[in-house]
Amino acid sequence: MTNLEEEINSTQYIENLIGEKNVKEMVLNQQDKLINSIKIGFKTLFCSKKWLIYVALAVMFLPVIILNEIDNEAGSIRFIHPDETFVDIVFGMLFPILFIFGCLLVSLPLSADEISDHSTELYLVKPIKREVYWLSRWIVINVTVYCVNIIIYFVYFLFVHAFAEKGAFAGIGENLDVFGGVAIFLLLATLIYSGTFLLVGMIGNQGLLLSFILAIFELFIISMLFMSDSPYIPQNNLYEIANAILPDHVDFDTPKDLKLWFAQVYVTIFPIVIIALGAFYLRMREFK
Amino acid sequence: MSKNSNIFDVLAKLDHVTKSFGEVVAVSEASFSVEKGKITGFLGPNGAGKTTSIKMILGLTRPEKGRVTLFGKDPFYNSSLKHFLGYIPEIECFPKWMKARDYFFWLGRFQLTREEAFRRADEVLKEIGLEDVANKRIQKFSKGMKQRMKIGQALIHKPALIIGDEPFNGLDPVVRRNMIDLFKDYTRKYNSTFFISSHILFEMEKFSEKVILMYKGRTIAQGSPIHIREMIEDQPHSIQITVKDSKKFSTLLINNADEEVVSQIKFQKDIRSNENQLVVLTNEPREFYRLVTDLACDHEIPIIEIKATDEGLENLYKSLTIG
Repeated sequence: MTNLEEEINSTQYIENLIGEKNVKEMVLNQQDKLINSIKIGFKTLFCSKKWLIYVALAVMFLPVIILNEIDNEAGSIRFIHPDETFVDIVFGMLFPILFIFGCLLVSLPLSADEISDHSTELYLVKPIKREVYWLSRWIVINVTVYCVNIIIYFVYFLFVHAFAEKGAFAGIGENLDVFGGVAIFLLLATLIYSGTFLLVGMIGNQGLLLSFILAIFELFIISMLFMSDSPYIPQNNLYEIANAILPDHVDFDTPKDLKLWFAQVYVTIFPIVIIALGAFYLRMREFK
Repeated sequence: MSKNSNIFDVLAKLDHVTKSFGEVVAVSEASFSVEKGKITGFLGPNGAGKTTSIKMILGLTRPEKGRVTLFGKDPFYNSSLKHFLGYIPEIECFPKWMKARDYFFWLGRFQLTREEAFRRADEVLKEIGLEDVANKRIQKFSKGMKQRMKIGQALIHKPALIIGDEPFNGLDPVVRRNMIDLFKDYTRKYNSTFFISSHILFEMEKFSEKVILMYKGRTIAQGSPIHIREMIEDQPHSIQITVKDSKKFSTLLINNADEEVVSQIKFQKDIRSNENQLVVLTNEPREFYRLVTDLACDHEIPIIEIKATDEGLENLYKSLTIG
């Protein structure tokens, strides 16, 4: 052996050391591999630019807001209560119409685009555990979806305050708690939906079926547990939490028997179930 | 010699392995081994079960029956074994946005330190002849350059075993020869072992120390290239060449070869790429491949792809199974 590299990489090295403790420690140290996989994941999402399409779509709604929400008097546009307008935009348009679509779109480069499956195959012939690989992807998608949404929502927050009746950006400091509440709501929504879409995308067609079952579970079965006499499909656990986070701004018609603690437990357990399901799926998965 | 070293003389092994997908049996009772320090050729027509066998060795799919071992252990869900493994995939899986050097660096970081990964990225780029385009995005590369990138990423950590699924596809004869020399270098310098699947028997014969032939999921023959050559000597070979100036190249072939080397030439167009192709029937495949390489170099004619036709391979392997 002329140098250390040759020694490490020669088959003699495997003969002598594989299966021994020191080699296992070197190879089984998954922390560096997790960090590396996270970095690659962020770069993949950032450079594939699917998030830009989502941002562009979200910003395209600004003119709609101007037409629908503003108080247009004598050619000037003014929001009398920018905090309320912002909450209306979030729960009337941004969240129900765009958020879930955004999760799906942003996760595509890691879950279901034309090369994601083959690149997963390539990464899994590297010495990274399947669970670690899945965890890295889950972290990346959650952080990215959250950051992208926070930026979009903050743009809207600035926008409504820029056209506040009391003057540009008047009262923005006082209303930061409203934005904070929305940010907490977004975090919970992100933890629920982005990991789910990543998993569904990776599973493929069967994943779509699974997502329908999940949706039915979320909207019908769980809610029905609390429907004593409601004749309609109620809004879900996230809206119950929104009622608690922003009590002065929203009042969603959730089932009377649905308790806040149950909603909190639900949004906590759901992401944990998704992480476990994803790890299990990838552990068992065969690339055919 | 210790007990362990005997185990690791064989780096990968399939022992009576069967794998099917639904009703299609991809691999049936296949048995072969990949020995340390050798270049092993893995040959067979499309659908022979080569890729499925490779995926089982890589731990990406599990056998239904039989046993697959990598470094003496079950490779499925065993990430520690992958530290000593390099894989050249058949299908392109490059992130479109990545630059060549970054690609090597990020993949190298799974096994190497930051400094080492940087150093090896530059070294490998030089070895595969892409150092001039190190900072260009991979999506702008030609098919041959992308193929070299796939080879490079498998070599970055100087693995003990490199498994290549059709690694020479899309390479012109000159680059092909350079890559073969590179493999030989790695075997010599780092005692690396190569397990290479290919369509081209007579190319593998030139640098493999062992050849395994697979047909319809079964290993129909294995042994030294001389042994395999004797078995298929009398069979005519049908070879497809994709080349821009097909008329000029066919004229050169006819003028420089006798009837045994070039028995028949047909012109056709690739349906997908609309590129010109020649389909040549030869009774002297070794001589024919040598001639194609010489003519391409001497007359500077870029060859886009060269491979045995599926029909030709099918006939060849059929002849082996019949007798």
